Amino acid sequence: MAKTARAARSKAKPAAAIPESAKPSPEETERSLGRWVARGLPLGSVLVALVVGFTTSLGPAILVLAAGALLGTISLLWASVRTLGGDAPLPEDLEALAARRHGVDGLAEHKRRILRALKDLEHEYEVGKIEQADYDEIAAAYREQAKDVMRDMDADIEPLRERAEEIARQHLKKRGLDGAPDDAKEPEETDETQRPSDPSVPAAGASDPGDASVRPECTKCATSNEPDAAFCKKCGATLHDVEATDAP
Amino acid sequence: MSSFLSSLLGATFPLFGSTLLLAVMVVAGYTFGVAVSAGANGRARTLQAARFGAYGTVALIGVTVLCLAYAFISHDFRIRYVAHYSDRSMAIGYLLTALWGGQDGSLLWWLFLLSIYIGLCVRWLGKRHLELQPYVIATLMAVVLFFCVLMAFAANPFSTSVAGARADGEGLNPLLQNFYMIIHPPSLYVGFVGCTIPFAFAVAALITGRLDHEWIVASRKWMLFAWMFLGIGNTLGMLWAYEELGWGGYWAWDPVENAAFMPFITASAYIHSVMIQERRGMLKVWNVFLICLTFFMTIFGTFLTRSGAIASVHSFAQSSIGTYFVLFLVLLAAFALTLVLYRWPELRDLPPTKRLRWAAIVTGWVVVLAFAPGLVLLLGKIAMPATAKVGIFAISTGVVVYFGLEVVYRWMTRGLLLKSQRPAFESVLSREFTFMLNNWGLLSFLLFVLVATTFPMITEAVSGEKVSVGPPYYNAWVQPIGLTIFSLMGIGTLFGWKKTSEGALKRAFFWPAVLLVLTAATHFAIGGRIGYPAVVWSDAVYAGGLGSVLRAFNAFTPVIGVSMCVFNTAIIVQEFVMLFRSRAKTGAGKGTPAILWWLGGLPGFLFSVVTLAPASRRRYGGYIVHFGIVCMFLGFTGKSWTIDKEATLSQGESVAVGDYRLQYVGPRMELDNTKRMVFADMNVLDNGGKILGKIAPAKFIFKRMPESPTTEVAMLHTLKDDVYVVVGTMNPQTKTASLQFHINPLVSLIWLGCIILIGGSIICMWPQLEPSESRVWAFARGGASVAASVCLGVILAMTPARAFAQGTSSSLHSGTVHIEDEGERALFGNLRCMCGGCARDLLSTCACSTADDARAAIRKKVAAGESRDQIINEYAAEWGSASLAIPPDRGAMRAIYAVPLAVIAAGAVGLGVVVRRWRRKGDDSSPGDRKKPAAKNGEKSTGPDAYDARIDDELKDLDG
Repeated sequence: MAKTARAARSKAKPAAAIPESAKPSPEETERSLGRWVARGLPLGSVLVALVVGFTTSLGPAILVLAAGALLGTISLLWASVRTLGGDAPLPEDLEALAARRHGVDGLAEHKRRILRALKDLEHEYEVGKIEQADYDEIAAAYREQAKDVMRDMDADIEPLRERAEEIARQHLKKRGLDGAPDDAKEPEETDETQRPSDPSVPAAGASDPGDASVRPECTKCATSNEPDAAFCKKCGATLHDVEATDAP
Repeated sequence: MSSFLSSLLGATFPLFGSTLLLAVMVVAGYTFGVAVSAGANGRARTLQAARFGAYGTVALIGVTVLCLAYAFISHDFRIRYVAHYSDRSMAIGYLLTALWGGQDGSLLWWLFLLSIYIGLCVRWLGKRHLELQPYVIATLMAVVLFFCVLMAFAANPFSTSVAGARADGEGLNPLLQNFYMIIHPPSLYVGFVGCTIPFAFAVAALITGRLDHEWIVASRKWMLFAWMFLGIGNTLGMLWAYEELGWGGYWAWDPVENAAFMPFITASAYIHSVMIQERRGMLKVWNVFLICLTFFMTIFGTFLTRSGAIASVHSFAQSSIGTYFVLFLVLLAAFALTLVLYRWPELRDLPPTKRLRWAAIVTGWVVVLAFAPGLVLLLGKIAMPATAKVGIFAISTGVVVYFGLEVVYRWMTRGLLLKSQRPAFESVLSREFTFMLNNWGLLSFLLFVLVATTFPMITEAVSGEKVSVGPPYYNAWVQPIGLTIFSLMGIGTLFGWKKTSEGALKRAFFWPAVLLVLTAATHFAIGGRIGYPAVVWSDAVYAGGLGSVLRAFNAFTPVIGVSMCVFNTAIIVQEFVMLFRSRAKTGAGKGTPAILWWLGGLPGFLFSVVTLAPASRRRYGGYIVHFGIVCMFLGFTGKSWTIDKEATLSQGESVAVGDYRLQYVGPRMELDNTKRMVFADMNVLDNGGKILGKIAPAKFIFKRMPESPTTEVAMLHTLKDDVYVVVGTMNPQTKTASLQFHINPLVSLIWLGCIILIGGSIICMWPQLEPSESRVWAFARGGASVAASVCLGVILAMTPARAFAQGTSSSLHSGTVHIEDEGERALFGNLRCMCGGCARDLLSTCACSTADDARAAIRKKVAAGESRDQIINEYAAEWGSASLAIPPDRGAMRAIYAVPLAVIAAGAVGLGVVVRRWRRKGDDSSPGDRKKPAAKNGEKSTGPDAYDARIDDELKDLDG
């Protein structure tokens, strides 16, 4: 067993050693080492098992696989303990993702449900399960609910948005770029501020590109599209000929 | 090399294996701890450690399985399990399948499948659901821990035999080596084990309190996958029984079959009711309950199979693991209950205050503990008639439950505002309502099967009387329930979400209803002439009024079944017509390349359905599943027109059976290494004398056990019916053969239906495509990932595994029963063989000598002119009520149908009350709603506000 284990290890180690010299950053090295072990170990032990299986018999081959799996277990547990102890680096974006975790948003959930209901209604109407009058009545009621929820949501994020806009404005001022449309991306951190098209909320200069007015309408199907869209989101027709040719 | 290896491994290999099991336990325990702490501290680092730990556990379970495999390959007969299930002569393939053949190994196999699921699940989780992940991992690890404890302490596959190594093992029972036996238990396992993942999500959602739509989406896919495999496993089980057992049927309502069927019912209920939660945020408690119940049922099913608590042809030998299972089940139920109660406020959309939590927990437990005194009375050794016991139990429990609900809850929540902000139903004429009816129907069915399955256990505990519940009981009761659910399935489809306009509903009902009536009329008119009569009378299961009512209903089952099938098909076709018409109108149908339509329609149809927006795709995939079920149902209905016949033929003679004429050509013998095979060659002719096919039923006589030859069924399949021939005996001198013939109409439709069902499920599971991907690539990726996951499942299922039962059940195969006429078959079908060896076979199917004697005695009584009831009563007097296939219709025994019926009725009332309350809430809020549209119409003159544009936008982005 020990011998076969060593065989599997020898298969995995050289493979793992390659990037060690190539990458200077120790964290990066460890990450790539992990990746190599994750790929090399199963592959290596299966290969060795195949070789052993063909040269001797099935029994030893199974033992090689078992040894490979045991090595895998050991390295996984080692990785687990090291991660727990804070020695091992985390995958690049995991920490960022974890930092962005958020609680359950009751309003968003409610809104999602209402939109779902509207979508269902639309489908039922299309396939003829509900008649015009009923559809209009129920859809109108749901729309009203949706608006209530959206108003609530807007009210909730209003202070945040003002703050974001303030930060953006200061940032722009600092860089001397007040009013440059390119930097309008800044306040988009909070999800819902992207489309403040509620007329009751005063449009805030630089941060708001005034999307409602510039929304290009598709020439073929008359769908209203995002301001920066190159193609119609419904029928796929080209919206701006010049930009479209540049698009990858 | 191998001598070197064996010296290296030395005497400690079995010990090494046991140590590995303990190591799995330790590692799973470590991972459990880390996962819980990751949940508590919410740090990505701890979570990552838990993920590594989970992978480590998976790998270590792999090592354990590989070690057991090695023990089999190297014939390590020191290990009891290896010695018991293999011998030196076995081929390597069989050696490997013996891995999960017996009790101990099959638990390891279960754990192994679970570990594969865990690996896939943790990988799939990746960077999603970061908040749920820790608890998902922790729950899965807890289940792993249970199986480890079970194996390490009660059913260790590595345990050594006290007597030391034997020279050779006992080997496999050759009678149990057949293909369907190989594939159906593992595919059920894939389904069973798969139910663990949704359960883990449910627990995680409950613990974190993130009961929004997130965990539903996460668990739905896994549930659908498990559900599909439960369906496949059950169908394969039917196929196995049909092809191998030789009694001409496919489902015997055996406890183990029921155990496999029950999670399927609850999973079906969940798949439907979850849609309401997705859309309305209602039924949260119900969905959590269904998921827990499904998981509970899988463990309970395993318990039934493994503990020997209920006699069954499938069961493994009795062992001590029953206690562990019971403990686990109790723990599981208590844990799930407490968790649900703790999250009661969130689940019911109430303000989550501490006091409310406590009120819910205390009330819940008071209600549960209310059963305790009653149970003590029921199960205790108090001398009292069973009826009185049941009566006192019911009354005392009812009083305490009422007290718990009313007094404790009221008192603990006094002063709290308990008006929840929940949405209301627009209309009873909506899909929401029909889904609730569907849940009610499915759960009623579950309850019926559950009570009947456990009834022998219950009566023995309560009154000490042994009874058995056989197929006649189920057949009598299940037909009304099944047909009700079946018709609900069709009717429910006609309704749309939210509200269905009456005019639209009438239109939708018109054609299916017309077809329903036409079919029924046609069936009455010509059914009898073509061999499929509309009404088939059978014997009543009970004397008296109830028996007559059931008998009358079941007599009409054929015509109801067939017309309901036509009705349901018409509805499904109509749905698709409506879909394609609306697609043609909006121009969405242009996405399907025209060439696919030219290729015969089906590719175009499938492409169109697969490329629907996800929500619609699931919906129409569901209709395809429904169509599969319609096919299966038609196959079940065919059972009514079965023709059974027996004949003894000499060479060249022929006999007419139904529309066929069967000619016995002659015997033929073949030999191979392990057995002698005696075939009875037959020609199947139609009435005109044209040969339709040749079949050869056979007896196989294995060298290892010449005393019990196996019966090999021969069949001629057509879509219309199967000619099913079993050879009873063959006389080598006179060359006569006694043969049994069954003409089983429409059985092929069951298997066809299952294939359609799989197809529909795959369409539902088709992965969501990212809009950013190019279309072709997305399609390829979607197809590949579905194909890969299904293939993986099928491979797992098809891996030649054998969960063969031990010992006595082999008699199942080894003979055939001679039955002279239909009256006799019906009579024998009500009586059980009491030899004690065969688990619970009926006299009509059991082939042992005790049964032969009993049959001979009964024939004598029939000849003496005794009535059927008289004979049954005498048999029961002689052998006790356990000898009857149906529990006697008297006293407390009536509980077997009275309790489920009462609960079903209560469920219906409860459903009515709930719906009325929701409707009322709808009316309360509707005045406001009605005013609002009016007000809005007023606004509309000034033009829709900006929110409308936003809603339109978001609706477009929302998947259809």
